[in-house]
Amino acid sequence: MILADTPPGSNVEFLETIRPYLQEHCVKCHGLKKQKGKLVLHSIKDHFDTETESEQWIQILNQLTFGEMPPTDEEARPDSSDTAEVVEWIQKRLAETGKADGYLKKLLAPEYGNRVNHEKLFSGEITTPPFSPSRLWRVSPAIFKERNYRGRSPFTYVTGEKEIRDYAVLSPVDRSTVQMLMINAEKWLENRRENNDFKEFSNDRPLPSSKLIEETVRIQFSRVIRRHPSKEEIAKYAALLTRNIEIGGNMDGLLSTIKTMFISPEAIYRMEFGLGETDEHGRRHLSPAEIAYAIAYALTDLGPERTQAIQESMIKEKLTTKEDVARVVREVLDEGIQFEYWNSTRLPRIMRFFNEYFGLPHALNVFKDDTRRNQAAIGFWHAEGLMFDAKLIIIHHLKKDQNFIEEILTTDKFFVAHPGHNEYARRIFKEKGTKVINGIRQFPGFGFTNEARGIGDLSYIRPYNLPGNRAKDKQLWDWPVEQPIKMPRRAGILTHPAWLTAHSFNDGNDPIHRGIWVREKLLAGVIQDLPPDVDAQVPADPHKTLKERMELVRAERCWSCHRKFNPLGETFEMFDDWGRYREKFYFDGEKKLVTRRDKEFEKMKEAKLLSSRPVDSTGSITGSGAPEVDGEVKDAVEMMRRIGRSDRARQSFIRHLFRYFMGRNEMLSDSKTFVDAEQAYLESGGSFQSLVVSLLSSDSFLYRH
Amino acid sequence: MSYSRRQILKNLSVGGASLAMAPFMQSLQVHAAGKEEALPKRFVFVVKSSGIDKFNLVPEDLENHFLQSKGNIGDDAPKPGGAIQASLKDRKLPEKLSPLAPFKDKLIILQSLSGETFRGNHTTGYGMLSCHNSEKVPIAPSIDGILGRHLSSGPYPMYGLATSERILEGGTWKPADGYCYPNVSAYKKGMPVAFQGSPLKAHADLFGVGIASPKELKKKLALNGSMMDFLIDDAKLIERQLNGDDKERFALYTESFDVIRNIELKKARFAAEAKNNAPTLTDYYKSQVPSERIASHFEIGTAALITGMTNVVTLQLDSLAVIYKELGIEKYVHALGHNDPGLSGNGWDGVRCRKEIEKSHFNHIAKMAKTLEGIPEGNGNMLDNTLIVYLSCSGGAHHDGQKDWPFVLVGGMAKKLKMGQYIEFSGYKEKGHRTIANLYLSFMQAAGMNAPETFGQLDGSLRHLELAGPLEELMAS
Repeated sequence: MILADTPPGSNVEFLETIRPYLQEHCVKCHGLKKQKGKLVLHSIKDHFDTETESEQWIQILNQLTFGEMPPTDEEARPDSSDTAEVVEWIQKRLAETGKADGYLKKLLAPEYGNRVNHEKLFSGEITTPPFSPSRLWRVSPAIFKERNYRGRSPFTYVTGEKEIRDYAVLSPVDRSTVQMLMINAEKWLENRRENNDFKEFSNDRPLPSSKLIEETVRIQFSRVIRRHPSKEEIAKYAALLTRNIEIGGNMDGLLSTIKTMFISPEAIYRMEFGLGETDEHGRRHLSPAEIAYAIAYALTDLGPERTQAIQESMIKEKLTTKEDVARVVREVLDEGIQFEYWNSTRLPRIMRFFNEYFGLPHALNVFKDDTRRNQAAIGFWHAEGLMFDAKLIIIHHLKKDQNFIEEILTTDKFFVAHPGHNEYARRIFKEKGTKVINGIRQFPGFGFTNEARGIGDLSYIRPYNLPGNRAKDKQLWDWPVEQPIKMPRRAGILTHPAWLTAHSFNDGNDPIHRGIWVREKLLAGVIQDLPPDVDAQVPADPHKTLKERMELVRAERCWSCHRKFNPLGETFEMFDDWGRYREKFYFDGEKKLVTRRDKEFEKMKEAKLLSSRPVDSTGSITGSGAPEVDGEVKDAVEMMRRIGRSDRARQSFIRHLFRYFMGRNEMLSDSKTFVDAEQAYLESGGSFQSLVVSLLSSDSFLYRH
Repeated sequence: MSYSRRQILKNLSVGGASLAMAPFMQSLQVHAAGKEEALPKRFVFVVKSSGIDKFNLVPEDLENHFLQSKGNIGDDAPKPGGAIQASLKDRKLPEKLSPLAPFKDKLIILQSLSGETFRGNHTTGYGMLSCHNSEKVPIAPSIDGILGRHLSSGPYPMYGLATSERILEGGTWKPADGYCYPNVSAYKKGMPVAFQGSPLKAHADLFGVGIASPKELKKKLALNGSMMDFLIDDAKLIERQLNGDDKERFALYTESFDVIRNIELKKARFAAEAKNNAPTLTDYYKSQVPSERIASHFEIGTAALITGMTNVVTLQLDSLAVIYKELGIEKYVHALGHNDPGLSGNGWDGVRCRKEIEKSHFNHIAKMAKTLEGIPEGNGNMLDNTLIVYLSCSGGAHHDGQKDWPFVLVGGMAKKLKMGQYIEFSGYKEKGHRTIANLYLSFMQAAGMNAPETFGQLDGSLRHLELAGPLEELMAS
């Protein structure tokens, strides 16, 4: 089969790379003889002019990015980097011709980050010098809160709730934001006026002198914008204040001027234009001031003057080179991580990354109703407590900082009803004079302090398959003062009740979204958008287990997508939707599934009214792009041990951390940043800190284009 | 980037007449055209805290399925099945509803709708009107915001008035005294509606334009102009540094200056209406007594509707820290909710105290209804096209009352709603059970909107029920 004659004007790349690729891998099924899926490629041209033409290229692009085509059973699979080249070419052409604006914009969202070819990104072949686009980045709600204007934050996210939230291109400021800022400003000014802050500008006073005007501008600017104004800025605002006084009198003139500061661009945006030197590739380095802000907001929610190491480097003018930045970042991390407690305020951005990556706070949004809770004999349902326990595992490994990624993904050492550090736990145990009764170490209870989140009793620990009790009841579990403790049948955060709950439904497990999570967040996989005609309902049938009810997705039409996540997500069936390990499903006399585990259940069991069969948590990892990972698994624990130790999971984790710090999706031109970051991590024995240092001193972080 | 202030001004002066049309003029026009249905429609949402006592909402001669609370108010077991639909004609209203007796044919008492999955700490917050499980973060538009955007032609899509910044106030009640976000209403995800706490400031906000001298108005607009010119100069410097996408996003920010100015100009066009219909400013508006604060808010809300400044008003009445001393009650609303014994100096228990509080709210509502009834509109009056909706942010109990969520509706919606009824739906999860989302869909349909099939997040425990569409029992055929 030969492709049709080339029209004049086609570019060389199309002729030399794209067309031969399509000819070799696609035309057999999409050509003259066969036209599978009504797609015909033997005569495709380098044309993007009409809707039909660009749509066809988008269709090819999608199939190639999803790894759907050519089918996996084809013998001659194309080389991954060849495919990446074709993908890149199509994207470039779409951008040039402006035919797929909507499509390309969509790709800027975090959920599309994985569409950048993974193998190529880490291959080391790409030599393009990395950079980020020159940009405005709206300040985050957390930064706003720290500025302490006391008003409600007008900034919210439009990014998906289960993705990295703070993306520069997805943080619009519109009318409602500005209106809310105005309301905040008015309220703040009113309070200050009541406190007599502006008495020199009361209307019964004479016109303020130019000295007073300048001094007032300097003070108010620093309060609102959170930095000292330059001479030019003082002059500019002084002129505004003078003009406003002429129009509205002393007080209204002043208030209007301060209000202007509140809604001025700098109060709303972080600006990263690259005001430093331009290099031979046309990239502009961030200026020292830009670097100071970028580092400060990467690690904290405060301006650079609030973190000593950054401020000192600014003063000493040591914020110019990559080495300068690496040194400062390491210093800030060293200083901060040792103080990382449950409510750490030093490096809030670090823990926020884990919240966004693992999605743990969603545990709070899942509604577990009381009737089910009672029937499931779960005791007190305390999603926040479980989240806190999971967070302690992360903090524990942040401090150890060895094999970090592998540890949090595979560890079977958990914290339960514990402050997270043993010295404090021992102290409280001793101070409270807590006893050991009948060989059972009594739980001392922890209040809300810097070192510990309040946990009053052990009533919430049943999701760990531990016997919980209320404070007034007899304690059944021998509470270990030294933690973490070994937790059988668990492997890492994904087998923690907090994660399992966060990724569950109100009334049951959610294997589909759990599987998607593993595919996207650990295997850097790509999943198609849900087709609009799919009825995403699992049919109800009281006689079947969830996995049996989902059998219908194994139909050919559904399976091409579902095979990517069902076999991953179904391994978590070894846990119920409270996060509790289970071995058997029980059925009553009518063969209906019995989910209750309360006294009623025990009675039925005793009266031999129940039949049972083992829980099927088998699954498989396929098409991960890493042969050592692929294969059958007996349950989630086995799966996590295999995935958690893989290169793929490490790289996938790094991709998400990159997105978090850069506030954007990766591009192939960031390749060097990724290769360096992974190397820094491996060479340091798996240090998270080294990984962060590497990312924040990378060209992707420091250069703009 | 568009800096088209002049253009906007020009557009306004051309199309200004129709935009500025006050409701009275609108209704004359509509009436002349013989289109009663096209009369302006209005909603008032009245939100109280701590639940509504369900037992005392049932007319005497109907079977009362609710238990008189003994523990926490309203924390009874869900009521057993059995739906009721009965006319209120010839029936005696329960005592606490007596202020609404003159409006019996314009009244609906609704019981046993659910919104069980919308949770929160003593309040469902944004959940109650948006049907999403999110107490503190607006993740979806609320029904008042939606209706406001559809119905209002004045400067405010909706106007909110709140007596307290938050429902679960600890310590003593601090009356809200400026704009605040009491977690009630939102125009869309991430865009909460600010509520005004101070009656004085609300008065200035809404009707100031009618009172201000031309000189003051001019000064205000000039200061605004000065601010905008300055910011636009600043923005131009930044714009030069931006690439295509960023430029586009940045334009949203710069264009907002024009939009904000537009609101001020729109208000200015309502000057005559504001001047004629603004309530008189008195010291009463400074009162820190809960019932007087509430009365002021009602008065301002009523005038906001009459002047056409907005077509939707939401009033957040009280917080858990309020003490209604003026009604003879000496304990916090919070304590009353838990039915603490020995609650008032005069021997009333929690149940009685709550009855008196709710009755006082109905007095305010009756006054508002009467005022609106006195203003002719089309062939009837303003009340015929205004629906006042009374509810609690925590449903039918002090907390966690979302399985039985009572509502009291007063007024009408251009004859689209069958008023004059007591309607009680089957209990939670039972056949025939309906949710608050169905009620809101009824509002949308009655207001002439293209209502969607469902509204907000669906309750997974009710999958077996038919939950689409409005409440048939409510809709006039």
